[in-house]
Amino acid sequence: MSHDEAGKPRPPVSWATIDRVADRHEREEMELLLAKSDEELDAELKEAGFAPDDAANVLQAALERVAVAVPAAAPKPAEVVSLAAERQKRGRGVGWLALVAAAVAVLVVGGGGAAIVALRMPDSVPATTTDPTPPHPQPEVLAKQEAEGLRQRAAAECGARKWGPCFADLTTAADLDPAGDEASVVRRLRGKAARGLGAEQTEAKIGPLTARSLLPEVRKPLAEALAPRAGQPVRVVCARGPEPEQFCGQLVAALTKAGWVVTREQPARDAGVSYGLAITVAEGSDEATEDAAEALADRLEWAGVRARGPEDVPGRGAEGPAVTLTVGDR
Amino acid sequence: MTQAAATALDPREVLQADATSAEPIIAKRLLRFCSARTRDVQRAKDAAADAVLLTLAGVGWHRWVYDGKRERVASLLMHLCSVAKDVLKQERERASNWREVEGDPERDAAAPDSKPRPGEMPADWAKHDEAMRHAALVMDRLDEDTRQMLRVESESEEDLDAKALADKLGWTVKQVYRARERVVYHRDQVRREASQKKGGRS
Repeated sequence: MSHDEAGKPRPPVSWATIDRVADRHEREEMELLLAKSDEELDAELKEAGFAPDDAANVLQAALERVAVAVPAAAPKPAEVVSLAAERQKRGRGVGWLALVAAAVAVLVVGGGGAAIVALRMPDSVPATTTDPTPPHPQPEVLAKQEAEGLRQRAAAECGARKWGPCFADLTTAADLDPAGDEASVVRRLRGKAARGLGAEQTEAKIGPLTARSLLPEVRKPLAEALAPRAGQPVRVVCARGPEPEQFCGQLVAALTKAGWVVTREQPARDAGVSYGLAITVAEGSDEATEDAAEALADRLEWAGVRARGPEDVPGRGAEGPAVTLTVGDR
Repeated sequence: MTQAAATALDPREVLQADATSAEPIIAKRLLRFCSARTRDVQRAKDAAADAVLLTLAGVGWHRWVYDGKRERVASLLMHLCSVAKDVLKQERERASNWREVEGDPERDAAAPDSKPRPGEMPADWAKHDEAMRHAALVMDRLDEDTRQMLRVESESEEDLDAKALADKLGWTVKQVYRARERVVYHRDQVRREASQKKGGRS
């Protein structure tokens, strides 16, 4: 314990004070960052061990990671490209991060300057064609048709757990038909693909999952985030055994606190073993149920808990609009 | 130029325009933000890159929506910093949730009655104790100047702005900001370690 000038012990600084000071700094930090001069930033980054070009390189590398392969020496700043030809160029064998480029266009800096090759820029690029008498429908109609085809293919790919191709097709479709990307069924599919990709990456990084738990500090925010859907029925099926039951109990508590109507069940003793977490809804469920399942998957992921799905499963439709969360073994 | 309502702007266009402008705003500030939180060159770079990737992919809340309240570059920078913060938080939670641990029948047993047994410390006291322990850990790791600043903040009955605090301590405002930054870093570190401890072997 420290002492003041008179030699009396000072009261300890509380966690609340530390939290208050840190929180305030975080609130003000953005303004401070914006107010800093380039010289100040350079000096601070240098002091922290960064090379002078690191910041620009990080941004550039991130953009290139999502860029499709285009000639580095593209001489023109922007050009219209054939959608079909572009898709052929991109091919299907590229890694998922590269395929995300369909949603973000391509930034290539090299040679004498910067060039942007937009895969979809109907509002900034004049519609040109080499054929003076086009026999085809309007480009936007074609784009919508292509997007629809891609979304159908994406649904099949996601169904087969091919998350990378599914995500890539959805992002390409979003480029072609941004309005269609707002449809709830498409949003759900996109969320499912993104979570699938995330889970694959996580598993690749850290190996098998063990010792699951919902951290105390995320329980309240998780319940708050789910609270807007209070009243939503949810079946929570907990695998037998101390670990899944304890974890399941934490999830049930959060859902109950959020006001969801929870029915906790155990699988039949002769039921097969299931692993991990899965979210399912009965086939033909209404939009609200589908959205609730999606929200549950999203918020669980935010809380550091990955679940498969949401997936449509046959049966149980007559029992009401319930979402099912199955907590299997580790 | 600001706009009144939320607008769907393409973050790639804003990033590209900023990167090729005479005075780029985003890249250095984003990296500086991540660096303050990680104190690790590689982790800061990874977090900054992930924030850009997630924002460009635009899934869920990672999608940037320009609200028109500030300059678009400033708005995008703020969004990227929020995403980077979340990336680092997820990293912390993954580390704590999914750490490889050996089975421990005592720890893995179903939770008993949550009420304290006779002679056991009530949960609120335990929480208070834990908070005090964490505060002491943070204080131990800080330099004496920053500890002094926290004591002044602790004894002050009202929130002191950086200027008032600098005057009181005989510092510059910049020194106050740097000290507060250290507080943020060590608070997050202690939280991180506490989470890891809870998720792993006790």
